Amino acid sequence: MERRIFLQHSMVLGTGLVLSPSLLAHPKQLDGLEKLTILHTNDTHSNIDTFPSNHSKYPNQGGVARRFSLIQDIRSSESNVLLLDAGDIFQGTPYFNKYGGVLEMKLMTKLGYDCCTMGNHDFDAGINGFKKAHEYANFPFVCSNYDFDNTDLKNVTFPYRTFQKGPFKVGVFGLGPELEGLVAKSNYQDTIYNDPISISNKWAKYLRYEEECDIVICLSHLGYKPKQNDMCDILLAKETEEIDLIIGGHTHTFLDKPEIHQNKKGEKVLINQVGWAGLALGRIDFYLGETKKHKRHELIMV
Amino acid sequence: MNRIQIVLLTIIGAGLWACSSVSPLYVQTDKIEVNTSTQKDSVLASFIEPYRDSLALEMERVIAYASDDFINKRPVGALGNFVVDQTMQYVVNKQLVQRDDYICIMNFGGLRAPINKGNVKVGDIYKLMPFDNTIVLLKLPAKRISDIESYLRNSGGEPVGGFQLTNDSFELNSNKELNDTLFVITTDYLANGGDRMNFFKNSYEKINTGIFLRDILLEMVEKKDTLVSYVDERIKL
Repeated sequence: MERRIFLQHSMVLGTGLVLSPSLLAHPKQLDGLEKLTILHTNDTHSNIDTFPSNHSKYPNQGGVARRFSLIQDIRSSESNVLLLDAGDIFQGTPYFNKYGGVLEMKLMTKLGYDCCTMGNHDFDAGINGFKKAHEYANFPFVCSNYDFDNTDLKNVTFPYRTFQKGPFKVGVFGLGPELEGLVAKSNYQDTIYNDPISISNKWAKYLRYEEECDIVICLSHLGYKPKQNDMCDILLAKETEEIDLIIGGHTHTFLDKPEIHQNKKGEKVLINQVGWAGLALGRIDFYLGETKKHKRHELIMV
Repeated sequence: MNRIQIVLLTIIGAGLWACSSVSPLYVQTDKIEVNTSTQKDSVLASFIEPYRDSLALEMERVIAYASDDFINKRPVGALGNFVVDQTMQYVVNKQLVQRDDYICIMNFGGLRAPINKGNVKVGDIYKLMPFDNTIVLLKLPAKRISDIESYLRNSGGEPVGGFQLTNDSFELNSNKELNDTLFVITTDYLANGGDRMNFFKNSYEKINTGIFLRDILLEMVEKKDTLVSYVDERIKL
């Protein structure tokens, strides 16, 4: 990546442009390369059933049992699959009101989710409600900027997790929005919200250099775009280093494909978000050109 | 740039490329729509079934008929009008307030699903108002109206009632003179400053009725045979 910056700031630019895209953009044989498939959802909001055919916006869309079929199809043809969610699993249908989030956790366990973060609505059953439902989840929650030490969620969530998928080591951490004004105090109690930027720089660097991750993913429930002076994924991408992919949520934004942003060092960061309610499943396939530890890989969209 | 320079720079470029410590990671992406073109996984569907059945008993109960779609829209939508006006009516019916100059402010984002044309079931009201929000009665310094106005102009409109907001005026529907106090019906979420309605933090009296907004809507809808939507100009920006 240093090379790329150098090229952009020098006379070599002209020839570099002739040379590098032809070398980088056309891998000889994509099929032969090691492949990691990231599948992701966000803001599923207790939507378990497919929307009814008379739904005014999304008739016949969504549904956990259909999502599971798609995921199983992909798992049967791909060996390295990671299934992630960016929060707001709770709240939105009577399933949540009746079963308190337990059914959502049971289903996500059956779907084989590998890792999730908490959104603001995941506090809607209170700290203890989340903890109770969480007992039915056999996958970890990463909450890097919430300090739960003074609550019953202490040691229930993790600041980060790593996953070995074939040759890929993947680091995942998670961010949630400021809770004050967004969630009833009685529901988040003494949870402390920490600044997402400094937390991200700490854990992303740690995952890259200490854990030697090939890919660093941030599950973010901060929201896609700035709303007033809010923290958001675009700002997060710009102000941080060592994140490859931000899987977003909160704003229910439908991105057709991941956006490419520049991080603090001018490197590429992908931001993606797939709306809400499980209407779509995001898919990002990474093909590893060659493995180099302690090094960031240059992301090339093909 | 002459030919020699180009050749030279090409060689330098190639050299730099070869020495590069960066290895490529090729990225392909896809957005997979989940819809009825994919079959349900039958094992998972049968796991969900008993949960759905016990919910359905209650949720599938039809409580009214909607003659149109009730959509959530800014600045004014049929859904917001319905929720606000039914709440205001309820509050009056139950004699929770003794004045006719209460205004009502709710939040666009809090109305989570439309009411679709056709039979309205208990479950539809749950989807519209899944949150366990309660109704709160506030007394607010009248000078906070300017904050409310600018909030509504900035957001493009929220579900409101009891007043009319245009580009240059704010008028109570009641004929009462507006003195020092603005009387407001809202939800506990907003009364506590949710959605950055910080002006509510300045209220000098706050009574939480403890009544769930959802229960109000269920009760009001159940009293009617047919729901008719209407969009007016209570906010005109």
